Amino acid sequence: MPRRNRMSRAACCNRFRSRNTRLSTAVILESFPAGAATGLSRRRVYIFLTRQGFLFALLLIVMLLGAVNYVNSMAYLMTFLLGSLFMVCMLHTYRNLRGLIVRCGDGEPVFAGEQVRFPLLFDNRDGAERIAIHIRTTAQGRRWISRDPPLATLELSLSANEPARGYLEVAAKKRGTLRLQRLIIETRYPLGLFRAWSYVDGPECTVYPRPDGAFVLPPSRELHTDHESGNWPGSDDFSGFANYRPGDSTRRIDWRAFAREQGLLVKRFSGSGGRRLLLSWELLPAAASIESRLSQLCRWVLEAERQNFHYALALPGVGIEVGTGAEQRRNCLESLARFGQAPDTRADGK
Amino acid sequence: MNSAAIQRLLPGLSDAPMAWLVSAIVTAAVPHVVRIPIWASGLFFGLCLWRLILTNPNGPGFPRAVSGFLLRMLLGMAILGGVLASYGTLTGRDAGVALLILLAGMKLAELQSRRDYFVTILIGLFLLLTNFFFIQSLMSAIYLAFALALFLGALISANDNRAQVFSVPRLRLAGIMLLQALPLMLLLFFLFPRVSGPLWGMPRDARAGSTGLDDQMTPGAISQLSLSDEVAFRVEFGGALPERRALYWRGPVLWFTDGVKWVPDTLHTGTQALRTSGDPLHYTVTLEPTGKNWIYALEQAPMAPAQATFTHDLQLRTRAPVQNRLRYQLSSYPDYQLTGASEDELRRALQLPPGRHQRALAMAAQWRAENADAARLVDRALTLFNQEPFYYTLNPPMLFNDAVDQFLFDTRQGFCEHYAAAFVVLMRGAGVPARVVTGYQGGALNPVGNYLIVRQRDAHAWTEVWLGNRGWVRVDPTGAVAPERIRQNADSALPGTLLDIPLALQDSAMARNLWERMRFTWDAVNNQWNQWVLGYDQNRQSMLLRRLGFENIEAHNLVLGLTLTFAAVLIIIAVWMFRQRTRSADPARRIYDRFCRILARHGFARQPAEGPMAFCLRAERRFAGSAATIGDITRLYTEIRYARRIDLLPRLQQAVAQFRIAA
Repeated sequence: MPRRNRMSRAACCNRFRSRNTRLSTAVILESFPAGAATGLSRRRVYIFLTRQGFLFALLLIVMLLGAVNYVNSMAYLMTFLLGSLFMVCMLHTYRNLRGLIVRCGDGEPVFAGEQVRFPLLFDNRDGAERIAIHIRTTAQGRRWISRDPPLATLELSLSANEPARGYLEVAAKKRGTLRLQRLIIETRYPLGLFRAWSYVDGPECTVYPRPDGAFVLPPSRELHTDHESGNWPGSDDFSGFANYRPGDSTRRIDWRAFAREQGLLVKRFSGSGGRRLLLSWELLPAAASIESRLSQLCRWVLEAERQNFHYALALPGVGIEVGTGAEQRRNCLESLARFGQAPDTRADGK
Repeated sequence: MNSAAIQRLLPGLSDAPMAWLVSAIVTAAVPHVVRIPIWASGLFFGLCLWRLILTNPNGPGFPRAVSGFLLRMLLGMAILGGVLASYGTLTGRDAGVALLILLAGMKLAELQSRRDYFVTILIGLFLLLTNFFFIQSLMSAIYLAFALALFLGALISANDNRAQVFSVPRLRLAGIMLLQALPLMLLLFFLFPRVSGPLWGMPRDARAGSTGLDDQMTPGAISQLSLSDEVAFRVEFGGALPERRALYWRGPVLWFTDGVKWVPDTLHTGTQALRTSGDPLHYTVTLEPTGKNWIYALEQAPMAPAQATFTHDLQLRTRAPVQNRLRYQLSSYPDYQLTGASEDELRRALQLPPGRHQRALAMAAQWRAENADAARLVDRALTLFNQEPFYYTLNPPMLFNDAVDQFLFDTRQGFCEHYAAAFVVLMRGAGVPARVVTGYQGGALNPVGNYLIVRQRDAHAWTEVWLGNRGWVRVDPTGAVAPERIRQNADSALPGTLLDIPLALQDSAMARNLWERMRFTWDAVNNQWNQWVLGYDQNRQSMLLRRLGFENIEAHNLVLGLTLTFAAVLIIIAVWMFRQRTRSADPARRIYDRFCRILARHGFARQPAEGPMAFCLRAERRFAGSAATIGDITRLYTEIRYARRIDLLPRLQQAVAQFRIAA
């Protein structure tokens, strides 16, 4: 049974990925096996004394010594009551986190310089209210030594039996893939004597280059015609249907055919009408830095998309065929974001 | 001051936790208020008020918290100086408490961070503890629970990010936590290995305030006997209760007088021979702490308990002052003869201060000249008290010159001390060896717990005279004047208003009875409290363990057992806590949730975004054998939820109750 679950989870993730759904991690914090939601990975909940907890324990020892020395029964009683409360508090703090289901989503792609919002979904089925739950990113780099404040924090309380949503907001400074290290979910409720915490894998987000640059769009022109025209998805004359492939513009899907349950068919056009652009790395001055060239290309992509051009992108080692629409825009921007980076390993299902 | 400024002052703390904190600290300090100087209470409440005004967004707005270094130093020095001036010391119990209260007030006023908040709570908890160095009653335990709930509320509200001021849920959680801690506390209390005795010295004033009989008396020096209702000791009798008038609880025996003061024998030498007859009375005494090194026994016990030894005048002395409630077992014979006094002892029992009590001694000498028989002389003296206008009163006039002469011939009003002193002087003057015995007489039966309560106002003084071959014979001259004092108790000598019956209840006999009954019940509860909580020590612990079947258990085994039971109880609490599910308000939803939980136990959980129909389809495929029932239940549920068919509820309930997954 567990094996089946794991497989279905992997399959599920892949499906999400391929559709670019933004759910990356779904984790149930430690729970007893019965009644736990299946298909989710489990994380252990850790618990330890806080500094205040240590101080409190110290006070208890002093009180106990006092009670022994003065042979004072009520002092014994109070010390033991506080000691018992200490242990009960541990259970309450642990309970506040145990069994919570946390889904952490990847952020919507942003341009460098903007804020990424990583969505967090909390599923509190079967749970009592959970108060003062803190989520924060772990410090980047040297984790244990660094005293830098976390990149982002979120504090919220969940009502009983209700889902909740929150966002971790992180400034995207650099183009590329912004990958958070694992997130810490912690709570000190109710007395602050104990801290219970658990980890969730950090989400990631594609950061496009900042659109920038002073160059206007290159002149539109005919692309090379060394391909057969049928292979080039033009826009002039309808030349037949083809099976849908990821990347095809949704505008060209024959929805009526889909309704007739003939599957997803894409209308193909041939001809050389329309204005086509080649946004090429080579068009930019070689003296400019890589980042400024990428920024310029990014601006061009946005501009071309806005003006409804058909455009292709050519980067050293990467080429994107001519196309238009949201899918084309996304492909181009992602190529720009990933330019010069190692291929993403996480997309392969880890 | 606006709330934004407060946020700056107290990062992460709103005013709700502050209200909790102030009420908790004040609750911890209030019992102490009467024990510390007025200026200290005033300063403390001033500081609390300052904090409340600072916190209140609508308040007039002081510039800021007590934050300036100079201001804090000045206030600190002033407090130290004030306490030093009031107590003459900075250490010890009383001065320490005053310092602690002012420290809590200071900390409250200067509080600026979460850390300060927590430190203030710790100081407050310690302050709460110090209360028990003054009072350890059952009421103080109830007060402790109440105060702790406030402290927990303060901690909870500081860790809760939702802004609510005095919210019931927080107090409720505090109550739940206290209740959950209760069984664990009892385990620790009864099984934690008890060590006897102090680990280090304790402040001299740690025990101050214990009242009780002194081992000296000065008749006439006080015009009013303190009529304290405080319990001196409680006695459980093994068999039937003896007669009231036989209940003489022997304490210090006073031999020497300088004409004003009576003190015990300092030589501690002498002999006695105790002959007992009849049946003994077996009883257990629970003595309240006295701070004195003697204990009380019914006249007359032949064997001393383990904790004490007999002096030559049959007084039970302990090695160390009785600082804790002491429980001891004794057997006494009301029928006894005390003989065998040495010559030297008898000579000491004739001591008289030179040049004092001239008129009394003249009368005694005249009596002796008329008839030298000791028994006759005793009778004469008792007849004098009985026939002449002597009065028994608890408010006698003060006596200044010669207390005995003045009492015998002028005022003729007094209580037991006056009569005992005058009687002994008369006897000695007539050549009969005599001594004063102090202790308690009588006691009140508590019918609820069937034990005897002896209170401070039962304190008494009587005498013993040497009647040749009969030995030392008890003579109670007070009985000659006020026999009811001996037959009943001291209450009858009191005006009605002195009894602690509310005025409104005095007229009705039923109300009086009811009141009496309530008092007795309350005392019985207190007695159990004293026996099992306050008097719980090493002895009691080993007794309890023996009763549980553990003979001579070693300390480390006890700790091991305690740890295991503690862990077991903790796990029970945890399981109970974690199994609790929050219930939906909708009954149909509750039943449907139960159905979903059954499927979840079979590894098939409803996804968060999955509607009942979609879940049903999936479940039917997975559990083909139960597909029909699953479909039925889902249909019933959707009908109730979405078509308002509330009448179908019982059917849904029945269907879910009978639902089983077919293999």
